[in-house]
Amino acid sequence: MYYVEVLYARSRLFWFSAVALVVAAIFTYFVTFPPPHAHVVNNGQDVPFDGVVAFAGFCAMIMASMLAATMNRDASHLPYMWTKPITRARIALMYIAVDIVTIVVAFAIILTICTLVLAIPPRNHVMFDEYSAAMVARSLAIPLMLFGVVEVATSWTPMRLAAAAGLVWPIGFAVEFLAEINLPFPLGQLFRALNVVNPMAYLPEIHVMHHVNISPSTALPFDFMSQTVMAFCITAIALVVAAYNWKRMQA
Amino acid sequence: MNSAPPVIAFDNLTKRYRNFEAVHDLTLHIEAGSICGLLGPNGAGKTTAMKTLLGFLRPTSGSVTINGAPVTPQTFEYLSYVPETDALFGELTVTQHVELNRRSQPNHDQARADELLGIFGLDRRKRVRKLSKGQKTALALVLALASKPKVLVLDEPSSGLDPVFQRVVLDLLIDAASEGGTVLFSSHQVGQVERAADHVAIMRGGRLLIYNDVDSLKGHEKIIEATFAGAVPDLNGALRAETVRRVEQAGNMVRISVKRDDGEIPQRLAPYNPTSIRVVDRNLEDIFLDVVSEKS
Repeated sequence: MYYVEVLYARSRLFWFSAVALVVAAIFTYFVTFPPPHAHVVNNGQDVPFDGVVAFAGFCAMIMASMLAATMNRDASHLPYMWTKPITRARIALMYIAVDIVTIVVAFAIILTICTLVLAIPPRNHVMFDEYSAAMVARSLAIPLMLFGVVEVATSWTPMRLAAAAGLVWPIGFAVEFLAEINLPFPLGQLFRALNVVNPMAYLPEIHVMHHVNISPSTALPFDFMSQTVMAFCITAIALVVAAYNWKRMQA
Repeated sequence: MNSAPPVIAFDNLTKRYRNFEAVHDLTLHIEAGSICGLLGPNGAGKTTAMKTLLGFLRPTSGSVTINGAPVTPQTFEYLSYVPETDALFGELTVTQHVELNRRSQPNHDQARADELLGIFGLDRRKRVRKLSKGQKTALALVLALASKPKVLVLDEPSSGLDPVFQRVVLDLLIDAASEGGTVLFSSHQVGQVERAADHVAIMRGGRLLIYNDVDSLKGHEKIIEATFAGAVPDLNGALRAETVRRVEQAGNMVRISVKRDDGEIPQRLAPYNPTSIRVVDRNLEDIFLDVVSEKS
């Protein structure tokens, strides 16, 4: 049954890549042939790899939103999907695997496009630092966590809940905001607890002044690596629970 | 005496949603090679019974089995289902659906699929969302039949099809049964059940009212048509009998539905001097309407 999800993911990946390429082409054109009187900053400066990776991760979050609620989206097809000699758990896991691969590929596409754009004269120098590997892990963890959280929220019912994939953005930012302001007991504690499973709370803080500085999210009481590990763990648990709920669903 | 277990067995099945009982104590056994038509008004519990059979719903009590065992994914190697609602993927083409079937169904027979696509005249390149309701039903049937299943469960299989293709579908079901397959199908159209099914089950309000073979049902129940030269006289005295189900009058003719013809009613009518008395088999529609209205 994963064939259906492969076709769906392929189509979304095509449009995602097409838009990314068009934006990159426009950007490159204006950098290469700047309009008269325009002040182009792109003059061979150092560009931190962490910033590029963070941007790729943000784009991968968009792809994750396009794919999320995958099992709920196909709820109307259950009479067709569940009458094949394949266990429901296997169908669910195949769907999830296809979507995870697609999110990672989307991340890699953006990373590649950014690298190519930065290589166009006047060349920028991509700077690596000790956080680079950690940033790659974090930038992949957040879109996967977004995907997992939406899956677990929507996979338990045949009711149409696919809009959750879009709503997770404003809700996530709202929860993060409410967790950071000092709300009275028990609301403050509630939002801080909710923030642990809120993908938006895991976005690293990026400060762009004279140079790019990336620091762990202050919305969570853990260090950078712990936040990343937690994001992966929450993703894994969410997807296992989502697959179990979907398998047990009555339709 | 046939000792083989029934291919499809509902045993004391009850399915309840909170306070609503969709199916109540349903016991129904369907033997190999049989075509069973499941009749009932909307809300009778037909779809719920089928969904429980296929594992979409968990029984509140009782059990359902296929070939004596509960349904597992392996059951679908030889069981195909055509749902009432459109469950196909709108964005996929007809060809992609057939490909999906080929990948997910080990018994998929491509030559059979091609043959069936030809019979229904389906455009392979068309996306499913652009197909008419009848064409979607036809595609669902093609996919179900392409694996030459031993057991077929169909919920309103000819929904949206024109009369020509309705006939084709019924012929396909009859062919499947003649090759040893077992078919359970629901329909609102009594005529379809009468044409294709050898057994009929009638449900209402979640309860099974009747399950019998079609010929026996029709044979036991008769219609006595009495025609009079003038107006139909007052026959109340003659028709006070336990066997009389229903009396309909049209012009100078009276139609009396009776549970069995033991000759009593024609004898009672004789003194009223009818010009003719005719005893005919009842059709399934009459039986269905009587059973559904009587038990209500």
